[in-house]
Amino acid sequence: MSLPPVTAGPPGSGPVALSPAPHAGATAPRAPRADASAPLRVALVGNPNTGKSTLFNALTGLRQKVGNFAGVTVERHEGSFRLADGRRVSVLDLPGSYSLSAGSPDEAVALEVLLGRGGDARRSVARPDVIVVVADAQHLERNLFLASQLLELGVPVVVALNQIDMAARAGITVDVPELVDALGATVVPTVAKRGQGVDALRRAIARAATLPPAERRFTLPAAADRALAPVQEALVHAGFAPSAARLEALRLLGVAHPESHLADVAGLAALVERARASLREGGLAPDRLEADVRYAWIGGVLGRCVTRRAPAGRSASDRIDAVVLHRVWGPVIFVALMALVFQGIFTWATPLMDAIEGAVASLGAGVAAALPDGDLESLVVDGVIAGVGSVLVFLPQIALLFLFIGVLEDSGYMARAAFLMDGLMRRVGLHGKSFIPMLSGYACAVPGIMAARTVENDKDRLATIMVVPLMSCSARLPIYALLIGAFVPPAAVLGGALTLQGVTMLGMYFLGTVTALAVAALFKRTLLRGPVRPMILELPAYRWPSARNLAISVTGRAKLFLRRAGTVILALSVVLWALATFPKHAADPTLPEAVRQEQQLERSFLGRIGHAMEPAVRPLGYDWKIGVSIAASFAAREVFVSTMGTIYGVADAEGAGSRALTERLRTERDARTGALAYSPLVAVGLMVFYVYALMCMSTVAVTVREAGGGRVGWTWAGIQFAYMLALAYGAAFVVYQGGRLLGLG
Amino acid sequence: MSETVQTIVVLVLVLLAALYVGRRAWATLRPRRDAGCASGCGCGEGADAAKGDWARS
Repeated sequence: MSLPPVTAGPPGSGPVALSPAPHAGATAPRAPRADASAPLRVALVGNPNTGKSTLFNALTGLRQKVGNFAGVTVERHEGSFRLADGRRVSVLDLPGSYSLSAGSPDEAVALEVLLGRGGDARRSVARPDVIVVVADAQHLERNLFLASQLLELGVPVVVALNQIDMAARAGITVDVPELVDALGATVVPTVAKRGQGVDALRRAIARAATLPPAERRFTLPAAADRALAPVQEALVHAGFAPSAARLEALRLLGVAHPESHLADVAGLAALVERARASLREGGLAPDRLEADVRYAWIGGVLGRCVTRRAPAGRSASDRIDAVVLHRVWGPVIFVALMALVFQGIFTWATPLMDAIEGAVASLGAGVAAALPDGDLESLVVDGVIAGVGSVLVFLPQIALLFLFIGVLEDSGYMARAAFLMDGLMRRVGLHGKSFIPMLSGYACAVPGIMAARTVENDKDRLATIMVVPLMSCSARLPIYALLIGAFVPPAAVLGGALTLQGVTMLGMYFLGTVTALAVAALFKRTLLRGPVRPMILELPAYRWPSARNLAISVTGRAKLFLRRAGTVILALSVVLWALATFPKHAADPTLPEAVRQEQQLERSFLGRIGHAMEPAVRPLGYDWKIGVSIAASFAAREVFVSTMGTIYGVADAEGAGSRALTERLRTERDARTGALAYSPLVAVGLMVFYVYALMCMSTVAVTVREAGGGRVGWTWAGIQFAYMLALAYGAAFVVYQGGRLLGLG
Repeated sequence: MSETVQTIVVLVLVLLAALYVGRRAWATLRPRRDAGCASGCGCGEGADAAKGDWARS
């Protein structure tokens, strides 16, 4: 083949590109787009953890979540940018995939888009105009497998050779012009996290749209060509482009069951089976054929384009791993890190929490002075400021939690944590990959459940989905912090290294994690019985966490928390204030103010609902106020805190803010007995209740969808809600009643 | 501000809040094909990502 002219340069200097001249041997030209002014559609695809989302953020200016481990992106995300000529480019960030065979639902998402065929025949999916393959320059051999498949899709391809700086540091040199020649596609060296090569990539994308599509770069044995011809014909007949049909025919040899996007190809399974038989007769191994021919080609490409300096010895990552993954020191370091995180959340957030608390109290006092006495003043001060303010106080702790999680993720430690836990996961019957969704559950169960898409096996995935909400999410943090702050003394433990408050918080997270593993073991031995599969986990190199990534993670979560406080929690605070204020009770004016307010609360709608619920929660040591707060928190767990804030705001005009609420919880007395209403035992029981209870509408909704949707999805969501509620109630009962029996109450 | 005006303002605010809570609950739990962060599951993460996804028909 005659070589197209190329230009070369260092990262960031410009693409090393094919000329727009017609390409010898190109597949049939694609039909021009009907609307030339329409946005250019670009799909960003590559192996997991190659920096796709970082590149996506750099291209589009968006703030998609990134992480230094595989499986961060499980849904597609869309962003756009404008070319120099003003044309809009719409970029789709696809979940990472090692090949075009969809073993797991996240890989199916990528396959559907790249082939332009939806999972069911009724759903059309637009194809991209340009595919950008993000390839990790350090691991080209593995990355080129997917690239070689993508080259056959009949769509212009641009290869972003990412992390070229890390490759250079590891002694790997890539001859980019030679690689352009080998791939027949434009190659742009990039360092996405520093934005190097991104402008060149934008220009390459614009140019690639005018280039002919890439094509297969190797030939099959003649016997294979003959055997696959009928399969290709059937695929072309079903509407596949010839190049894509050739790719699919070869790919299907190694696929046990054709994926759903091939469901409307008549007689496909039988044709593939005949092709396999024909190949066996020709002395070829059909299951291995694709891997054999592609890796043989890749070997040749690497021989031409890549030179490696002999390794000088163990890398820094290897030396760190020798300690961090040590059989004894590994778990010790893991527990120590977790203890540091939770102690830090208590210790370092305090000054900022005090500041917010002071601001909320000042706001409440200011508004109370500005507004005339009456219902409106009460709504704003006792309802909104007391309710929302009591939750806002926890913003610094939420930000700190995500800062710690971000550092662990971005440094590469999370992948090590998954590796450390793999043995334990296998013992309970879960796939090692399930640990990443479970870790994501510490932030929020919704993305955690979505992350279970990376687990290939249906039963393993379902078992993961069922237990992810047991991991203590950030919405539980305000509840733990409120109760620990009120009832657990900051006594020093372990020689002053930790406090009892930090240890209690760690204990709650530990309890959720251990229970999740136990429940998973139960599911895997009953409803979701199945074999345990080995995990292949890529350990990324350690790196300093990127300040930008950390800022994105922390500010994104802080904004989300503030948005929830300003929307759902605000609205619920208003509704709960109304329920706690009406109907108005004509109290005896001779009674003290506090007694009159308590009587008003008791006879309000909320008081009546609470008293109706009270028999159900009394065995747990809770009064009606906690009962209604638990019920209201089904909307979002933080609503427990805001509801308590509103109830006490209505009952007492002392001031708004969590510290006031903390104080009120500590000093609250039972109206009937005069004894303290809440004890440390009740607080621990309540925290245990929230460790287990699935009080989150969004989690129920996402479980329905991810467990299969429709009746099946609702059934699994129902099982999940019921078992978690039973567990929560049972555990809180045991804690409270057991504690009383032991004389602790 | 008279008590009547206050009562009317409070009533309107409470109704609006109740409507908002109901709408959010319906948006989260209604049956649909797509759910999760990108389609506005309610947790808020990635809610902006679903806008203009060219691969959706």
